[in-house]
Amino acid sequence: MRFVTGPTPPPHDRIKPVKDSRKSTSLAGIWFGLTMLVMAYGFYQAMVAPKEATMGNLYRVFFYHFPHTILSFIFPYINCVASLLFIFWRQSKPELAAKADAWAVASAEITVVYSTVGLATGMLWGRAAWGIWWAWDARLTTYLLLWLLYVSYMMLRSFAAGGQTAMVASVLGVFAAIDVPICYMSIHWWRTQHPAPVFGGGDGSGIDKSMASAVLWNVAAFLMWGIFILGWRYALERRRQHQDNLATEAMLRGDIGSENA
Amino acid sequence: MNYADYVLAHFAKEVRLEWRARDAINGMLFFTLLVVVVFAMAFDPASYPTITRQISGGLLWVAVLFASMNALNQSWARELKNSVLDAHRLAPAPPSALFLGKALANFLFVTATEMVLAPVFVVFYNLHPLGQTWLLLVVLPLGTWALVGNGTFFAALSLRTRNRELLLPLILFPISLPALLAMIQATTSILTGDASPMLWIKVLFAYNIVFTTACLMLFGFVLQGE
Amino acid sequence: MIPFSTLSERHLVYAYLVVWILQFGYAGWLAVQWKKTPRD
Repeated sequence: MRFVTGPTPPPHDRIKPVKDSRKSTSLAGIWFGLTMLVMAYGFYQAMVAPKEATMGNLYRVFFYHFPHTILSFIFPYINCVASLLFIFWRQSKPELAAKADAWAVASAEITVVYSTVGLATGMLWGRAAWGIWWAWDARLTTYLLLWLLYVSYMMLRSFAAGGQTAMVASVLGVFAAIDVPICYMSIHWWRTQHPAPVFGGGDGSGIDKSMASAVLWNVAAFLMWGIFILGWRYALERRRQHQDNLATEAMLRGDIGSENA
Repeated sequence: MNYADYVLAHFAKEVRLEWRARDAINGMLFFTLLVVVVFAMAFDPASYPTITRQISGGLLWVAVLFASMNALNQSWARELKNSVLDAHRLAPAPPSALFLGKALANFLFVTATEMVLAPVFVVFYNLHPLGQTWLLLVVLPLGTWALVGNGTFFAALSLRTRNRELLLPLILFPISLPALLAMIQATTSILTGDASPMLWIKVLFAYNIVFTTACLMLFGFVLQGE
Repeated sequence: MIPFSTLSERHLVYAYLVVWILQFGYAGWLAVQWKKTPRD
């Protein structure tokens, strides 16, 4: 048996510091600048697009409502893939699993942001255009469901105890991803069996050529914005994971090496 | 022992424990009775038979849903005492057998409650189903399994959280919404005789297959994951 | 200058404001959290 005297030897799996190189920070900055330009141009396009026949200026809400609703269906997929990867990699590749979990929480949070905006703009538009805040038609009900699912995901994450968070959340993420298509189909069947008034004759069905460019610019703007905040939230989560690791290591080292401290 | 023996062993244990204490079933029965009475204050069942038939399906399932929360929250709580859960983890039995045994036991308890609740509903709301009533014997078990299967799984998941009684309904309801829609639509169409419930019965069946498979596959991860 | 008299006009303004407040507010929260979390 060898007794180690003198200073504690460094652990062989030293925790690597977060790679936050200059390159990625400046890339983020450039992307942010570009996003702001596209967003400004999109806003300009939205304001100068010709007035709509029935709704007048109110329809311009669509230029911001539509990108958010469309994009809020992309982030849940990221969450699903990330949750599955976490489950697969948890034992075999813990470092990659941690990255997967960071993507999962980032994409879930962005989903909640985008779907909240989609719901809010939709309700404001609906109230002004058709006199009602809400209708239980297929599209709106499914959308509300999407919002509820990912809000419940975020609540599970905040209620979970310490190191369990990633694990329980990944399971819920998989279930939520399975649930979304089932929800969509069953709600669609519900509403076609007993047809109810459909809001607005279908968004996107009557886009005039003159308005198409404004729609596309705003979709691009909010897609770029979504990528920006997704990446930032991911980086923030990685920093937090790193801080947690450091705290755990310090606690362990404090217990074991107290006579050498 | 084969897989079925494990499931049966867990199932028998759950039923035995519940029979001795009977707290889950009593709690559920009383709760559903209260719900029936409170809902009856919201509308007048005797004077409006058509409306009563249209909404009774929804009321029944809301009552079952909230009652089963009771049973589900308790069912895992008893595993936390005396490190029983750790014993489960160490045992060589397949973890999904534990889940299945418990889910089947909860299914039995909730179905027992429904056997009491359904006649109470019929009596207090003067329900006279206009559709094929025997189909209810198909819809009730399918719907109950959808709630109880996922519920048992998520109750196990919420063991690892603080404030688990609050969290279980929060995560269970959004996931169960398509099943709830299907079971309420099926029950309502049987009661009102308006449309065929077959579409919804198929939806429930498909939902149960998909989610029970997911639960069985992921339960080992939930139990062992540390 | 910004039309605000009818319900339609008000809701248009609210809708755009809601989008900006939610999105830039979230980004602001991210920025605050980013400052608070040390790098290593």
